[in-house]
Amino acid sequence: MIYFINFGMPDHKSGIEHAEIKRLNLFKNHNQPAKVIARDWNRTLHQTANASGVDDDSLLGMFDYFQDATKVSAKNLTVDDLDFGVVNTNREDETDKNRYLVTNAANGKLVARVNYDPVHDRQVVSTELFDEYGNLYRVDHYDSRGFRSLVQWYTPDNKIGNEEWLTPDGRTVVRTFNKFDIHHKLVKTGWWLQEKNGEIHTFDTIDELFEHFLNRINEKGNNIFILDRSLLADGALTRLKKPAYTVMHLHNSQAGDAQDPLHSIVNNNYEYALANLDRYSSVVSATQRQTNDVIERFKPKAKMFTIPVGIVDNETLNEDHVAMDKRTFGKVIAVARIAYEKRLDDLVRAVKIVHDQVPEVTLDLYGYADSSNNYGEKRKIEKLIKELNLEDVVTFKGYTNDIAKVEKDAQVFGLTSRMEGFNLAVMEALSHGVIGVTYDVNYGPNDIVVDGKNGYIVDFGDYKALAEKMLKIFKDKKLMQELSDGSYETSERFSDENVWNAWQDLIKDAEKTLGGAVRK
Amino acid sequence: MIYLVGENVFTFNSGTEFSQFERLNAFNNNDKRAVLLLRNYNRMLSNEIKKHGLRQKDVINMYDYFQGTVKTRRKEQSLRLLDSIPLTDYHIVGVDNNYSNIEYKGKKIGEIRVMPATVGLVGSIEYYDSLGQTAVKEYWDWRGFKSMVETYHPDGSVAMQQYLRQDGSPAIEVTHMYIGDKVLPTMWKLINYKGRDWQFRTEDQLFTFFLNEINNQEPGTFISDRRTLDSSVLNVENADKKISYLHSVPFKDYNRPQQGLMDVYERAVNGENGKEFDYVILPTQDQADEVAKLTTAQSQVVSAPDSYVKTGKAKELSQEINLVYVGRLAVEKHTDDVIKAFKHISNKLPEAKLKLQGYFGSGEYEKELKDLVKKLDLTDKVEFVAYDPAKQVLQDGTLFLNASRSEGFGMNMLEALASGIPVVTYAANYTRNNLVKDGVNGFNVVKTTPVGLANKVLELLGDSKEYASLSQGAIQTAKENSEANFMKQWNKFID
Repeated sequence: MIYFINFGMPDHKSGIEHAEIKRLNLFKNHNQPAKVIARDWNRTLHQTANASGVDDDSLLGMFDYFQDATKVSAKNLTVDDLDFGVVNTNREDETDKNRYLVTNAANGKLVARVNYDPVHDRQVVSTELFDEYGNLYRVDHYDSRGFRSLVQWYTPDNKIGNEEWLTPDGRTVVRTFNKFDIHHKLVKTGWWLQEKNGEIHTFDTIDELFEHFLNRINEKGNNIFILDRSLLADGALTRLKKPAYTVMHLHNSQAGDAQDPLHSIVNNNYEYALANLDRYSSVVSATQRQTNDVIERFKPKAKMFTIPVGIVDNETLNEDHVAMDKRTFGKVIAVARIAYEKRLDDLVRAVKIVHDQVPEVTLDLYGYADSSNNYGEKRKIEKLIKELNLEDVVTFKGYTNDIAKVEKDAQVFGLTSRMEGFNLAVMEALSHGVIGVTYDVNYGPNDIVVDGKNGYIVDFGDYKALAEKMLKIFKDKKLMQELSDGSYETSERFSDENVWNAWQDLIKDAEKTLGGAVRK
Repeated sequence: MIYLVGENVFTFNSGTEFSQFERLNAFNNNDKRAVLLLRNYNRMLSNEIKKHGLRQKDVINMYDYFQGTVKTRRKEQSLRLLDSIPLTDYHIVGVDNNYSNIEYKGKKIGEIRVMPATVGLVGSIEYYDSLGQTAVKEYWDWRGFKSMVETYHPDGSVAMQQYLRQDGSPAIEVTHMYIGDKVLPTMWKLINYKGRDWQFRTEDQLFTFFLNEINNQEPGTFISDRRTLDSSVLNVENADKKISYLHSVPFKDYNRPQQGLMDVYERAVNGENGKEFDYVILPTQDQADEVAKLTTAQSQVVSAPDSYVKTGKAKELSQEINLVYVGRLAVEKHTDDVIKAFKHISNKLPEAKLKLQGYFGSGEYEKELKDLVKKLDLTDKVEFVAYDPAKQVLQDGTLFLNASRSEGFGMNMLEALASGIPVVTYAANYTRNNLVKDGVNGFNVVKTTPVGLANKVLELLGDSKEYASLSQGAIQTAKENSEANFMKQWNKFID
């Protein structure tokens, strides 16, 4: 089996989850079994994963595994299904709080608060349980598939004490303890596990529990583990008891300053993994440039593979091309979070220069605004737009679900980030014929954009140069169409087939290393 | 079916439990099917009942009933052959006969206690957290299965107890939270019993539920022997009959019964919430008559024997003088008076010995008695013999000395009489004129002082003819308290 290691598969995804989903679909198209491992417990793990197209067969939750709940057919559990052990109860619906208050009909005492999910048919989310003396003694959390999964026992002074995870038939199989340390701080002091075969293990930390889990699923050896979240298992994967092919997957710059990859302090997320690089079977990066930088700095003995994290599906590749003169003239777009790392103020400055000569130019910004510092980045850009009198030129468009439609009407994709791990957005834009104009930013944009072929790469931070290239494009319709053709053409690099071939090289190396087929 | 309702069975029991065991045996020997229903959790129970000659099918413990382990047979579970301890990862390091450590990379992560009175069988396992505090403790039943799991609050007090079925699923869950400012059990929850959950505020409410379940399966007569259980028994619906049996004298002042009942007996005699016992049974008719004067309930107040004996042989006075007392060595039994009386006897008859057999009411009283023996310079004449059903000091006893002021029946004295040993006792209420009859099988000494007791003993030891006659009388009393007679009395109420 090929396992992708992550925390979970939440609704709000980062690039890593998107990359995993694309990879999973790619593998599925080529009949290569694979599963996303979710280390953390979440009551909606299956709900959110399924909604992202990750089916139950492609998902392995660590807690599910120990709870004997990897395959549970979902049912909608509502308050009517609950049994409080009280013969007659009354129920009051507090709609504004999304909960029911359940009282004992015999004595009027509160038995439970039942919290429900108003969006999903009022399915039970959790129950807060009270004893007859009025103590909140326990909170039960229900899996979205309709069973009691996590039980949190409360301490007499109303803090979470011991926590237990149950099998769907109600046996406790995982426990964790919250107790006082020597500073009288309530901390997690350990984990306890009872496995299907009856064995009981204890662990100091969830990391140790996770390592045990990885060894358990690799009991027969010959699996491939792709570490997508380095800190989850960067140690564990170097200590597996049985043969496995371990892949350290870079999703971001290995260097703290991506523009100084050979000297800057190592990215904290990768520090341990890079210090132990040769204890992995191989390393994957998404771009050749990053692969080269890793080799130059770390001189790994582990194999290096360059495999794009983005895939342009065949449907897109086979679409009719939209000619440049059929698109809105002067339409520049950016698809990025409105955040400091994206440096969109530079793009606005460049557009100002362009606007002075080509008044038709417009800039549409697609993406969520980063909320940190009270939306400071967005406010900064708004102020700049005002200063430059670009109110009619630059527009915040927010998040859209149909970005393809936008991209089929745009001419230029502007990219001014400080650092990138790959940038799926520019790849997708180019697949729809948009011309890329980017800073020389590591890693991704300066590989995806090929200077003079599908756009231009200018010096990092030089927005005037960026403006010049845009002007060049807008002033030369023939060049514009040639570059757009180049965008369509270079997108082939990210075709299903090409990315699959890259993965096949890795899988073949795994088979060679393991001396046999990868376990199905 | 007859249900004898009790709390527990220990190695050391009070007379109440002995009386229950005897009654259980007599009923079952005489085609009155009876079982003992017990409330308290006791993972050693199957071993304890064996010590008392009871069979597994004679006893149903409430926890066992809900855990589905009433009939589970014993299998010896070595602590080194547990499925739960992966020897691929952990070392089991034997420390001594009582416990072993579970170690991982040299760190103690848990402790296995050996089942008491076994060699290397598992008794309990504690798992520690990373700070070395006990986080989970698993208790094994004598019969070799994991029976209960306990977790703890941050201050180390018990947080939760789970009583398990054989498949590991919880049958009963007990929550410990605040009642006022103390952390105590606040809820007993029966889990997935016949497909649903049941919540109880107290263990007694759960016990009531249990008794009703038993009665629903097979209706019967319930006999409550412990006042703590009266309420549960009163709340059984549709029982054939409900009986309270009072082993001890229930009056506030045993010299003045008319002053009323002790509070703890109220429920046994008068019932509660409109629920009453069909019969209130006392060991002697004179007690029954007094109680009948006090009752406000419709219950019939009657008498039936506490126990019965097998009859031995009459004795002749011999050179060897062994004075004996068997029973609890406790303040209310005035065991110190027996020793003081013996001092007077010993002064006159230096060859006489005193054997006291039984367990001490308290450590304090044990010290008091032993100090007294030393002070009176009787160390080589007075022997304390540990309680042991197999080794009775009655066998070679000459006279039985009793200094308690009140006995519901005096089972220990009946045992002595059955061995042909006359009894010299303080004239205690409800023994006097019942069990011990002056000049027939012993004497009731009205002057309740050690000297009074001693003088009567010395008098008897000087008269071998009188002694022989009393011994004959003792045997006769035993015959009146035979199993057959016992059943005849009881049959009036349980038929």
